[in-house]
Amino acid sequence: MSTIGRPDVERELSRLKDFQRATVEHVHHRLWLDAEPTRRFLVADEVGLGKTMVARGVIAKTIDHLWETIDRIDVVYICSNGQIARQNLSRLNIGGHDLNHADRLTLLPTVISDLRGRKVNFVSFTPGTSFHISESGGRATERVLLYWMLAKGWGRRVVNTPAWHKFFQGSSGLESFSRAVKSFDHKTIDDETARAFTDELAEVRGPDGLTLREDLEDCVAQFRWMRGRPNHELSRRRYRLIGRMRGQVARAAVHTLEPDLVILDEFQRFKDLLDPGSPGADLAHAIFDQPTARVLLLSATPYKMYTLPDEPEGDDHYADFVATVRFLAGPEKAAATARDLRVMREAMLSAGDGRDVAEQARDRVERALREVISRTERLAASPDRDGMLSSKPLADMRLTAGDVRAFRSSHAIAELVDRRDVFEYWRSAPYLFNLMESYRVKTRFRENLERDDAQVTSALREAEGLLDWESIRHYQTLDPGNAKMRSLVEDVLDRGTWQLAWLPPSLPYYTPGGAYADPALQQFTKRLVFSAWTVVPKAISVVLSYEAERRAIDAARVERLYDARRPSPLLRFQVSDNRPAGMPALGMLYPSVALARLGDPLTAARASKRLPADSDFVRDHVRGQIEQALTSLPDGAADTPVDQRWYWAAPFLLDNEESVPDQQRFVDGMPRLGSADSDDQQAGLLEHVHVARALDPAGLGRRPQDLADVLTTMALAGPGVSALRGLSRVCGGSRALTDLGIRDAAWRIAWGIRSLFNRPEIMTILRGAEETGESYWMAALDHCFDGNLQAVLDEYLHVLVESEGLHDTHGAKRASELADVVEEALRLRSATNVVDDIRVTDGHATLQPQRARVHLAARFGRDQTEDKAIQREGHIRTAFNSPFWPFVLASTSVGQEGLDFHVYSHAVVHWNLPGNPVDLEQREGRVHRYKGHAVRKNIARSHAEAALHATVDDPWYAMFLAACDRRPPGAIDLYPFWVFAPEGGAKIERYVPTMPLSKESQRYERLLRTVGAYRLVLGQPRQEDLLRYAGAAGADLDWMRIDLEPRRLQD
Amino acid sequence: MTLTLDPIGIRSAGESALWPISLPRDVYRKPLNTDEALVWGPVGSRNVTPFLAVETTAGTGAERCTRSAVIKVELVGDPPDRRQTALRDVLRSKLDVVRYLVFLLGDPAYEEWFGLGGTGESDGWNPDSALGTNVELALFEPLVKAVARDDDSLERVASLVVDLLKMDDTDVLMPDGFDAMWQAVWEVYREARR
Repeated sequence: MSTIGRPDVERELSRLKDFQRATVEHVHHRLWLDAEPTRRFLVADEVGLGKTMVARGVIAKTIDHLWETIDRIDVVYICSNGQIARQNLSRLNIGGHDLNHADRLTLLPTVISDLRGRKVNFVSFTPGTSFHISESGGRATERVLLYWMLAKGWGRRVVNTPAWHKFFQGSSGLESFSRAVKSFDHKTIDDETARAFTDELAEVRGPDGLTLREDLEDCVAQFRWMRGRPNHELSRRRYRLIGRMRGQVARAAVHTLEPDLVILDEFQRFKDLLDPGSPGADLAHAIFDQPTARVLLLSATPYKMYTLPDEPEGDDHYADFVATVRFLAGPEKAAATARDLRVMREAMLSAGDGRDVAEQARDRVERALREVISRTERLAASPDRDGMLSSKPLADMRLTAGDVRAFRSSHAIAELVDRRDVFEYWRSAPYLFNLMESYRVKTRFRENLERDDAQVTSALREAEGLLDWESIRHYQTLDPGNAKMRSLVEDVLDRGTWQLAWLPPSLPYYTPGGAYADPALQQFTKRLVFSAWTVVPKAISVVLSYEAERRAIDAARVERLYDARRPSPLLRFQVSDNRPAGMPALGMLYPSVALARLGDPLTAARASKRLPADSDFVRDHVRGQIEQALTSLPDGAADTPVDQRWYWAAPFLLDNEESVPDQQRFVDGMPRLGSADSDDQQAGLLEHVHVARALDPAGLGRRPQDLADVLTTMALAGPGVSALRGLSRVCGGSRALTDLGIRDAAWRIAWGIRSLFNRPEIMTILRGAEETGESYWMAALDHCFDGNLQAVLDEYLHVLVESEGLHDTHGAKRASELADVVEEALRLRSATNVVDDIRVTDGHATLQPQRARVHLAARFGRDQTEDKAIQREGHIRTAFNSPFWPFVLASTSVGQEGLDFHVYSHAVVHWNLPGNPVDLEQREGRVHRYKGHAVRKNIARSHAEAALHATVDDPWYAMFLAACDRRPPGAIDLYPFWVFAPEGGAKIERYVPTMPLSKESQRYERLLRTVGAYRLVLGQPRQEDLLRYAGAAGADLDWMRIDLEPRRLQD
Repeated sequence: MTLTLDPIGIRSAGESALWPISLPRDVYRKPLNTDEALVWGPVGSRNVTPFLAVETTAGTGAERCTRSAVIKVELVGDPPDRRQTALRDVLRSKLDVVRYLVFLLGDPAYEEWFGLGGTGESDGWNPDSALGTNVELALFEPLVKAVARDDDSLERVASLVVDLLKMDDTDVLMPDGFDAMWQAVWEVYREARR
């Protein structure tokens, strides 16, 4: 929550794309200006078109509109979960102030006094925890708040007894609860609210028949002499009372809000709140229905459709849509819409009969809906109306005898322990009994083992398809164990992704080397996998990560056990025998201004007049410059032995020679910034930096022969140098190279890249690659060169500026915020997952928990109750949205709505098919978004020329500008930012790994028909889906199209 | 030609009736009598198959119920190329083969489409009428589940596969992706039987 100043509306709107801006204007008119305005409006833009940006525009205009007339403007933002809030709040952040997610209505009293004093308030919470207040104790913070509300209302003396503490402690320890009470800042609760609350307790009925206050005191009295924990009955009574008070607080909180604009983001997730009836809905309606409030709903999929269109009762497909219209426009208009939709559908099914009547019905529906809904779609912008989507087979779906054996065994065991059909589990994941966690059949299995069930033990002895931990320990090949998994392993690992530290850039500046040279890898995009089963993300991340690691070990010919101690980092700053051992690593990471100027691969490519340039040409070009620059340094005594110090000394000396401003201050600051790891490292780094600074160039011995060559690589691809140049392209150009703050940020990014190269997985890969006996820092540097690190960072930073909402920040501040994100992405460490090793010895079966590492593939969407878990998921998201590992993200349905995953992925794998069109649309919407990976690849392919001749610093800016210039007449801004699909270019890839001749593959066909029907009511289905749905008649259904696109602004 | 079922000498638990699966139930249904041979004919050569439908009704009052199944019997004295001809006659496309395989696998979910659900409306196995093109049939799930059930329906499938492979246009008839799936299933089934 925070105050914001009067927004600069023009500036806000100028940032929007044309169709977003048209939507904002349209919504604003409908809500505030029209002669017959509406109080509720739905923006149903197709998934991924930036509804959050539209909301931002509407907020800005609303605040501006009310500024002169309303003393206090309250904007309420409601979204379905904390991850979405985390992502979107920064984007709604008008005026650059902090926006905090209040999380729960029940915690609102702590900030009410703030609300009163401010011109503009931004309140945000999630409905799951706010409106559905169960009869439970809630979180400890909520109970502490309740305690203090009573203390304020009645006086502290009344409640400062052990009984009250014991009553409120709930499941917390008594001591920790009392500590929390003590440390709570009760001044945050305003007196008026507390008194209103306690007054109400004396009036309303409690669950036991007296007033709530009397019930409460009666119950607390029972805690007075109680020892230990209360019995079940008393505990339930207590929680019922606390639940009731929490409800009371939530209601009071709602009444303190004076909402002017309520935004319901992805409201289909909490649609039940729209229909009055449930207690949650009443609370929500208390917000929506306040006389001043306007409600803006956001959802690309604003209704549910379960029945499939070829079923006879198909008329009900649109029932839920009509319910949405009812909320927006009232019952009469909803009924009329329902009637008209029926007429249209009948005409469609009868292949054209009654077409005139139907077209009139269409016009009426369109008119009615336009008053309360707008929708922009990208289909219209894609040439063949496919929305840039292509459906592809993942890889061959192969069933092996081993898979079938595993099914026989799992089936037999499941029959014994739970009489349960495990076919669907088996279809989805291998090694079921090793990997499942809280599934019922696993719980039963565990219980059976604890009981030493002889039948189960004997079944286990014969069982096949269990994970053999011993072979894991010895890094033996792991069978994917399942047809889907096999195809994913083939798709991701067989093509060699495990050899890459990052995804190849969309626009390499020179021909890539090493593993990056493989064309199959250059096409690769990260895989986003969705499954309904929680065991699947775990199975995918464990199997893929293990196999990636095993292949690397194999290639490196390393002898190591899986559970041996992990190798120590190789880019270290240790001091042994008073000698700093990591000086070359320091030189390689150091953001040298001189090298940044001398070795820009983009400049070199320009000299060659082509992109990508030939890498030898680029090297020769830069080497020439370096050799020239080296002439300004002392030659080094020719009669002395080769002095290895030259490798790290040269970058520092060249900077000194150039009299880079603030050089001393920068170098002095290096140890402070690079302190992410341990104190030990910190001390070591300090020592290294000291040595670098104290170097006397005159004392250097003979130069190594390959000095110019190594410096060439450093200049072209050194982490610090590349980061510095990358930042300069988006933070002010060549002048930025010497900016102290920007160099600091570059050093932080370099330090992040260092930790990437210190990951054991990556170290193994690099060891496999280098057989020449060169040192690790050189191998890492070569990897940076082969992988076009400069191009990778340039592309990444270009995207981050917008996705992080950094339009308004400039220079060093922008660089620093960019570095924060890049660091976070690079810092993600491998996590471990528990795998149950099942052993049978002496007629006795046991489960031994083992730890499997996950890194190349990560899992997402676990139950997020703990802050730590939420934080970890946030890190994973940042890393997946970067060019670095993980390359595969496997998510449960949690990840399928509202979050962005498009930055480095344009491939969705539907591991299990969703049950309805909403989920299919939502899942694919995760990767088809603004400047997504597919669009960037295509832009680079078509407009590399613009990067070559750019007069601006940022080559990506130049390329997008060129694409805009060549926009077909009449096209809106969807082109090129969302849809840019040249012949043969990248597309949004949809993978549906189903077995041939399976029920699943038939369900897929049916789902596509349903999608056709689903979209018809909001706009335009894909041509193919429509044909599936309506048969041959689908070819001529243009007349059915309902156009809800807001009229474009007149210039 | 005529079809003769030798006396089988097993007493039925209730009242049972039999008919060649290739012929309409209502016309060719004959009560099972353990002591006598059952004779059907004359029948066309394309109706000669080793498959018989069995329908048994047992119990009294509310408990009374009827169950049907298909059994495969040993066929003696059939024309040498009967199987090939018969198969070729009914299996004209991959879809026909899929339907036939589903039928052989006897997945309970599909029973009624084959006139085995006791509705009496169907006239037996007929690839053209038993299933409209709208009905979706799956092989993958029933095949794998049959292994876990240790179900001898897989033997029936195996013999069809052998026949299919003997035909000169196997490629035209073998459903895409079936062969590989079948190899895996058959291997495991045989292991388990050993």
